[in-house]
Amino acid sequence: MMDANEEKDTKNDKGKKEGANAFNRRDFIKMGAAVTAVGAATVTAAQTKAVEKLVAKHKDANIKTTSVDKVFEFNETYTPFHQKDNIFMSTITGRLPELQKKMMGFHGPGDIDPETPGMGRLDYALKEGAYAGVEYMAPGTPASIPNTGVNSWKQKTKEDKHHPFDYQYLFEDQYKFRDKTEATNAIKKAAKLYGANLVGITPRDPRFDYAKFIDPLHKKEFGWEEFPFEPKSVIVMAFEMDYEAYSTAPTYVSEGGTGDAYSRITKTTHQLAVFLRILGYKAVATCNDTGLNVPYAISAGLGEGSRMGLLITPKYGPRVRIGKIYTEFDFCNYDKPIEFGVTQFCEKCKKCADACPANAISRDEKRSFHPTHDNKNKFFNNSGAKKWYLDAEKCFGYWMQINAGCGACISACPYNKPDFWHHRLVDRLTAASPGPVHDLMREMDDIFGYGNTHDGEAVAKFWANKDD
Amino acid sequence: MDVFKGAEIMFYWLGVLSTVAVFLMVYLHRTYGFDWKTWIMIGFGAFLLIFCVAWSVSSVLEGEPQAAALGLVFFGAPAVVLFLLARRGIVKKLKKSD
Ligand code: SF4
Ligand code: SF4
Repeated sequence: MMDANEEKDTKNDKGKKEGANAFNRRDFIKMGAAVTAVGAATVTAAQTKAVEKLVAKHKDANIKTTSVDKVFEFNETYTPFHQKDNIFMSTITGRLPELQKKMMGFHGPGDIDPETPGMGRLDYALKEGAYAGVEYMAPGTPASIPNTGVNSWKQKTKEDKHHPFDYQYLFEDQYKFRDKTEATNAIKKAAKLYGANLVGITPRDPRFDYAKFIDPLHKKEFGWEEFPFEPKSVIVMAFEMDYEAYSTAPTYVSEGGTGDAYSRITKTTHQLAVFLRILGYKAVATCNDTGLNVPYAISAGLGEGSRMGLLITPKYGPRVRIGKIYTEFDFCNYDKPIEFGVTQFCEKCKKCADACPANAISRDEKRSFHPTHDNKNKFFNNSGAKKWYLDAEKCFGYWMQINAGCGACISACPYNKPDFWHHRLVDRLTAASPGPVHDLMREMDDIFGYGNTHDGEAVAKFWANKDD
Repeated sequence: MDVFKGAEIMFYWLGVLSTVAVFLMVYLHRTYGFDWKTWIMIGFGAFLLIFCVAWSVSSVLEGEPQAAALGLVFFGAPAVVLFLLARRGIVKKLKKSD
């Protein structure tokens, strides 16, 4: 028999049990939901990780390394290019008088045209501000003038200090890296910290260097004998240009994208040159001067050459500008050229040639050792290398006509996409597919609305978009 | 503080969407019993639908509205067609078993 207290306890126990059961039932649902949510989140996290891994794996899946000998083909007529023969120098020095005449009025505020989208005062100010860095630090280097400003060939020594706290001179003793991998990583890490988007290192190759130089500002011609050391390596860096700015090409806004890249190039290459000098190694920063950027960038594994003559990188397509360092340092692992199907795609695509308002880009299906365009016999063609030859006179003539750098070919190229997963996926599928698929991909690029040029709305969009 | 950016939020929701899609497919299979043809249609349809969302949201994020709209047409429409075909097959099967 139970007493009252026992009965109460039993009731309490029962109540507790009921309560417990009730708690369990209610909470079971809650717990279930929670577990499902955690499960879903875990699965989600796992899926995101898996997708990331997959993207990372496939990002490089169709990128194959190759060799300099395979990627460049020269015939017996090839000789290193003379800087005075390139389109900038031959225009400045009056060897192309028509272009020189047009150039005289180029780049001035008198060109501002408020009626044309992207060519107004605001757009002009954007462009000039963008170029301010390079104009101040190393004027003329985008036009291929060497040995100016911070890109001076002079290797500053302790004796040349600007002030007592100036320690940015060439150290007498050389820092010794443990091994080549450590050295390579250190250089690339520093380059990225200073602002490079892509970095590669390649041996110096005299075929890609200008044979001789001119300085039109000082009316001087000189050769490699004035270079302060025997360069052994070239550190090549690519700098992304703004996608939105470039989608307005050809305007002052897109040129702002170009100018800003040049300013960043000047800053970064100068910093990296100082870094190397403090380690005790001679180094000279260069932009479009001293050597040819595109072959050096190909050689350093940053991308492939293309129909429009520019470098196409896997990550940014042709929307990059290039800077480089010549150095005596060679204790490093050199990069190898890469292939990811650009040449094959260019054979079919021709979208840049369609977009070119000057008709300067070749429409030949295959590359050749000689130019085939209307100005094929002029001195500015550096014949003997297998490639698609650009009619530089027509191209630069158009720049003079619109009073701005053009770049419509860069905007039109299907490889010019923001760094989003779906474009990388399409790039990889394209690289892995045969020719007929390339035609389809090119058509789809148009249908999906990519690569428009002369697009007034793009200018409005550039200025309207909040960048927060 | 920007913990997540647009694309990261999108991938998070794509993960949730994929999980829901898998649970839903398993639930529907238990309820109606899919044959292999239905599995292919539903599975491929779900893949296309998720791909469509991913493509279109990514295109909006990169500021390409035409690509986003075309993404809906190219990947979303076939997904809907596949779901409708699968539904027709299930309805037919249910009618037969009645
Ligand atoms: S920059 Fe303009 S003119 Fe020159 S090749 Fe490209 S599209 Fe043609
Ligand atoms: S637009 Fe087409 S043909 Fe021209 S460089 Fe780009 S991929 Fe090659």
